[in-house]
Amino acid sequence: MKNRIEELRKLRGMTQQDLAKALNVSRQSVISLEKGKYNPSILLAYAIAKVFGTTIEEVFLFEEEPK
Amino acid sequence: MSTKRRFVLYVIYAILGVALITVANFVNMSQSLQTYLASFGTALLAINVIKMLRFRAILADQEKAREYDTRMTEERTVFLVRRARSIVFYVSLMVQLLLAVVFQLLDQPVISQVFCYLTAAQGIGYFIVWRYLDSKY
Repeated sequence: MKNRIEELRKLRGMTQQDLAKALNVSRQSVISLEKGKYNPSILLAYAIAKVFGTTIEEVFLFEEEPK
Repeated sequence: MSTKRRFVLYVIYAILGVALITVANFVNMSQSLQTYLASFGTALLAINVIKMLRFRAILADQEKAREYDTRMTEERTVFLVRRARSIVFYVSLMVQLLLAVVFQLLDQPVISQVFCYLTAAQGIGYFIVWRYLDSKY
């Protein structure tokens, strides 16, 4: 799933380490999330949206898979 | 599991290693069993002493300890651990089936059967656990 984590993080002047600390995850997790290699659980997605002061839909771009 | 609890676990394993070495050296038993227990105990002791030394460095630094704790308990780590276990389980099944065929071709039906039974037992175990989890969640 594509996301805007990197864009929103940079907009708020946060480093990957800052975001990792705010989410209580490792920096490696933030890197994986930003690259879209790892899809977070609903709880982590909610925490990410909360840190950025926005909604999950604004952070994660859901694309329906072609049937 | 928290960092401190993990450290305690390593200490317990190391003590278990020492106990195995002690039993192997002071209790009367066959030579093969003695060698087996002594080597198992030595390996257990060595691995856990190394882990404890690594941990001592981590625990000395609060920030490092927090980072380590986060790394060990975060959801991505849990996901990776589960995925790694799943892949290893699948590969093991395939290797066992392959070995069953190889031993059958080498005219070793008993060994081949052992691999077949082992694979079947694992398959049944998987099915039972899957059904249990399916009813639970």
